[in-house]
Amino acid sequence: MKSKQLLLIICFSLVFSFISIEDALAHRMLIEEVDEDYVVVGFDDGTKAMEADVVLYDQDEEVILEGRTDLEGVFEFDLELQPYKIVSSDTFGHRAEWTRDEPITEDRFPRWARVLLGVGIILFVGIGARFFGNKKEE
Amino acid sequence: MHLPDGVVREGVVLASYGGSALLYYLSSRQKKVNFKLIPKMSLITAVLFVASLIHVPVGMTTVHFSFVGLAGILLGPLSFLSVLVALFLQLILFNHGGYSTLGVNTLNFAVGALSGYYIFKLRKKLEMNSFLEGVFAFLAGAGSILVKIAVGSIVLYLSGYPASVGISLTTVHLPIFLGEGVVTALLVVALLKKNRGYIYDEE
Repeated sequence: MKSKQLLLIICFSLVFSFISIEDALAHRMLIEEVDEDYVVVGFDDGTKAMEADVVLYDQDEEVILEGRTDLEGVFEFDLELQPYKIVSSDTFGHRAEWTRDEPITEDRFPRWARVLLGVGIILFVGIGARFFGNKKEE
Repeated sequence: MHLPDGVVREGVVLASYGGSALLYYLSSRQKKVNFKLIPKMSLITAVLFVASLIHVPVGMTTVHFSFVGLAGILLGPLSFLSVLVALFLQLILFNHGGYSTLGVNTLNFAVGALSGYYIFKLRKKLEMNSFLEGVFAFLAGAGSILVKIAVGSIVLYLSGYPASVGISLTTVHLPIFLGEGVVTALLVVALLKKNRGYIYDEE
């Protein structure tokens, strides 16, 4: 592959990834919010997990309540249940878990920064290999 | 479809790590990595990494692109390593998938990629023109997703999900079949016109 063509493809990939950053929304299931009497389940693209199975456990891992989220991704339960662990899942293999000991935290870095970091690492390896490959040939 | 921790049974997790190792061994026997190939591999890995982050809302869930078929066409057996690196970076940067299920997800994506390569390779048995090559690229792009879904469904079934999981996964991935098939066909035809060397078995 010629260097100019390679450079062109690298530029294209970078532009593609920059354009894609705004849409870089995958579908990891999350327990977004837990309150005394409800839990909100969604995906990390901001959409809500509708009709997702929710299971509430006590500290002894015993099931205390099972049900499904509504169209807003909300599942309500009695105030006195006080679940220790909540597990949500759906029929497509998504799953999320929350326990009282581990509060919900925000991601440390914004999504676009992580996309750039990932693409940067991959392209750095590619460019490095190109450089060393050329040196080896010389 | 990145299966997270806790979804797949322990036996299936172990078996899929073994399956991934075997697949790596078999694919590395076909083609060894060298410095010249790494730039091309890294570009395709970047595409795989970003493509999996673009979602399409379908019904009650969201699905995402993967372009494993395209990776298979362009990299052949080397697509295994690209898939592994892309999935590992998605795991550590986005928590997509899980450490215990990295083997399952790698097997799932890599089998899809390799099926794309072999489907596209079938064209060599016929006399080709641009249109037919586009058709084969479409079949490779869409077929690789079908294979990926099939492997994922088997894994979920073996982990206690109902057998109908295959039907529901196939249904929600219909837009992805079409999207990936069309994009793969357009890209492959364009690349073939520009330089046939971009395609793995034309190098």
